[in-house]
Amino acid sequence: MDQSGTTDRRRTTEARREYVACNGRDFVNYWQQVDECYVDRMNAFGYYTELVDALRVTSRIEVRPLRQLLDPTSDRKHVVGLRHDIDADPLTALRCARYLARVGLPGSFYLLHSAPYYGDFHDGVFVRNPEVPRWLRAMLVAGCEIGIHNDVMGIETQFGVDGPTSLVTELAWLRAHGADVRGTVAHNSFSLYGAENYEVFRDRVLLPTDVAFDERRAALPIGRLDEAELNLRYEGTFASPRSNPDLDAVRAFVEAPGASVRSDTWMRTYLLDNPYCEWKVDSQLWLTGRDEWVLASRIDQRATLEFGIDLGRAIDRLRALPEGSRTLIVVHPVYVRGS
Amino acid sequence: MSHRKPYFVVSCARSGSTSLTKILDSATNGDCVLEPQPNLNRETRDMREGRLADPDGTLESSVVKRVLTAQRPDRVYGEKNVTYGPFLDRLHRRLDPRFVYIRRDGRDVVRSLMDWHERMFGTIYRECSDPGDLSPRALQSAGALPVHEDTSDYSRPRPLPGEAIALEWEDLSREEMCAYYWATANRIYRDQLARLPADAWVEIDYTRASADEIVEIGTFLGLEGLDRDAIAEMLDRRINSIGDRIGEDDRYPHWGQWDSGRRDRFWRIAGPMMLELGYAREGREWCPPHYGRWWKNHDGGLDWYEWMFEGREPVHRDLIAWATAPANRVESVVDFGCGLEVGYTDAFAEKRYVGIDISHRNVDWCRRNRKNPKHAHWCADFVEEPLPEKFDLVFSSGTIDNTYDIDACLRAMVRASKKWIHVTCYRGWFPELDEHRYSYAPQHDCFYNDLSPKRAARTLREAGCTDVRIDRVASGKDDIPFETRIIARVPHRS
Repeated sequence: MDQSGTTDRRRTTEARREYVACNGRDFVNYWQQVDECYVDRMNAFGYYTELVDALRVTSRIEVRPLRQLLDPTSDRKHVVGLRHDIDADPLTALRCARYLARVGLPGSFYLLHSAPYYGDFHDGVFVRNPEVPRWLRAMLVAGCEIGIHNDVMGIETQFGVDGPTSLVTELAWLRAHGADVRGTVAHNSFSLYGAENYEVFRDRVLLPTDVAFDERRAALPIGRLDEAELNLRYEGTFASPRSNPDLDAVRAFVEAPGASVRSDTWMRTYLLDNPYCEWKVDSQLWLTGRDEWVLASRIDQRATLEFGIDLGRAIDRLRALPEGSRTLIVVHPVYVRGS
Repeated sequence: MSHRKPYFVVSCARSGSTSLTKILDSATNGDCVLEPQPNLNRETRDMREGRLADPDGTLESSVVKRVLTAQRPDRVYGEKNVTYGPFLDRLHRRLDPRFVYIRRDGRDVVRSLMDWHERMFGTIYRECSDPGDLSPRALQSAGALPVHEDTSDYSRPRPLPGEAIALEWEDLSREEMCAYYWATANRIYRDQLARLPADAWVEIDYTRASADEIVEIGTFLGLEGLDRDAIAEMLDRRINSIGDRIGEDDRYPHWGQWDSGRRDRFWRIAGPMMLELGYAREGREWCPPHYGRWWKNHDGGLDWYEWMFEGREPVHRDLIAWATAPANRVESVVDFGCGLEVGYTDAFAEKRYVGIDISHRNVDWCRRNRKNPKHAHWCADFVEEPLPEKFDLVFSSGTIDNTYDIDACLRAMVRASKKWIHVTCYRGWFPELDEHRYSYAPQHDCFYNDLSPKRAARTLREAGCTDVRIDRVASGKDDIPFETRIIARVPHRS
């Protein structure tokens, strides 16, 4: 109580905020926490350079930034996009960007605006980590593509804050600092929030709004933003909503336990038999752990999925994919964090 | 009618090639084209890395085709690109051209590249872990140029597998990467030029190029109408410098202001090429061309040296007391930077004493006026020149502050000593410095140095010294109350 006692009295007459508690995130120990969380899934950084070198020396592969992945191509090239979802480790992301700069290849990097490394809420105010401008500047010099790892639904559900405004604000902030942001990539999955993060964009809503599906969706900011108005050219999952999704199948998928990139069953459904979206790329290659990849392809009506393959196999398969096809490689830099 | 021989202006970037191209383009019977496309940016690196499948075919469809199209019977065609290094022999076989190879002091090139990066483009060795202190212009420029479209940065050499530096490349500073660029690009040019007939190429040092040299180059190329005065004016204008391009002064320090760490980092990578190109001499790596000239010309006279002695008298007395203490058993001393030997000829009247100075005037004066038969007076650059005699004590009082290389000076003192070295630094006591701080003063042809005790201790221990004591000594002055004092026992040599 202050000396006059007025503060307490005023508080008693105001509407109370909901009591929200969470464990403190100590950025001093952040990197230690990252190490502990990912120690079992980490590869050495040389693992990443091996992948990049393989792409570089394969003349029939053309690596493009994601903003150009779907642009017209010559039939003789197999077009590859190298997507980096910066969930946890911006330092390794920078290291990746620098290696790409060294060999002259493009890569696309998406900063997660809800991540502790990016910032944190203090009494309702989002406070950016002062390191972020420095990282951003370094990424600009490295010449990579920069975008936002979109987590509007996470901002809404975890912090009780206006997610779309968060996205729009961070988009403007990144641009004001020199990043020519043209795309976003949705973080997490439908199962977690009851919606995909990209559903914040009105042309990417997956399910009809007049259909009762998941009560969580009613509280989410679905269809609230327009990509064109925000000068966004693409969404880097390259998911395309199905025109008539089978709602039972969608429900079965999103409510099934074990939604994880490390689940064979879940990844098969997500990448090959997704009931709510199709993919605009022919193949996706995901690094999911220590020398573990998932490759999913749907080419000429033929669907294949290889789960848990190693880098050598992944590269071989990549090289064997047909000319004229497009492949999205998804790397979380934290998985190549090892020294 | 046969065509006149075409020519290529070749160099590493930031060496004056744009300036020379514009000058040569002013010839009345020739054209010199600045960086025509295609410019082989990607191919030059792919060639070096062994990944260019058909070099001759590449040249044929790019440079050769362009040159053959551009040639006219009555004109001399020339062009400049900084990427032709690995292709000179092939170009010579195919076109029988002439080459003008420009070189420039690597320190100036690194400085220019750094300013280029930080003030203008932000795109020099984009993988460097330190993005640099970028101007808004440079940051905007970098953000607008994706790396896969940046063929200029791609063209710069990176270490090949097997090169020792490849393992540390990721951790190098941009200055070091630029040093690597300069050394490697010049290595490539020189190796290629060595395969060509001597009459196929000429070399010009653009560090201090003169109009006369450029007129000679014009003659070599068969150019007419090059005007000496106009060339001199163009040289003065510093074409394509940061000032010429954006009206800003150089920001990155001239090498005369580099600290010892920056010197080390540059020299480790570029040192051999610096020696090969004659920009430095072994043992005098950081000695500017006119170093010491001021002292040689300055006639301060005895009064001036006495005034200097008195200004630091407590420090001199401290040294004399130490050197004459019986426990230190000093019978012979040499004084590095003796001036007119004020104070010391008397103090060491009973000992073997040699005063060394870079100034003939000072040494001649001592020979005429200091007649102690136990004493001698030598004129030498004691940093570089080995002495014919060793001494119990090598001391230097207030001279290392002005030398071009503090560590080399310390090592020279150790080499000349049988027992001890003793150094005092009039510029003060700088315990906070990790590196020696150098500042070259062209108006005095010398450096003004702040000595790092940590670095000096490391240098002396690496030289085998023991009992290294580096501390401060009271000067009795208000402006600089303490000076640095170094005492070390040199390694015993049988």
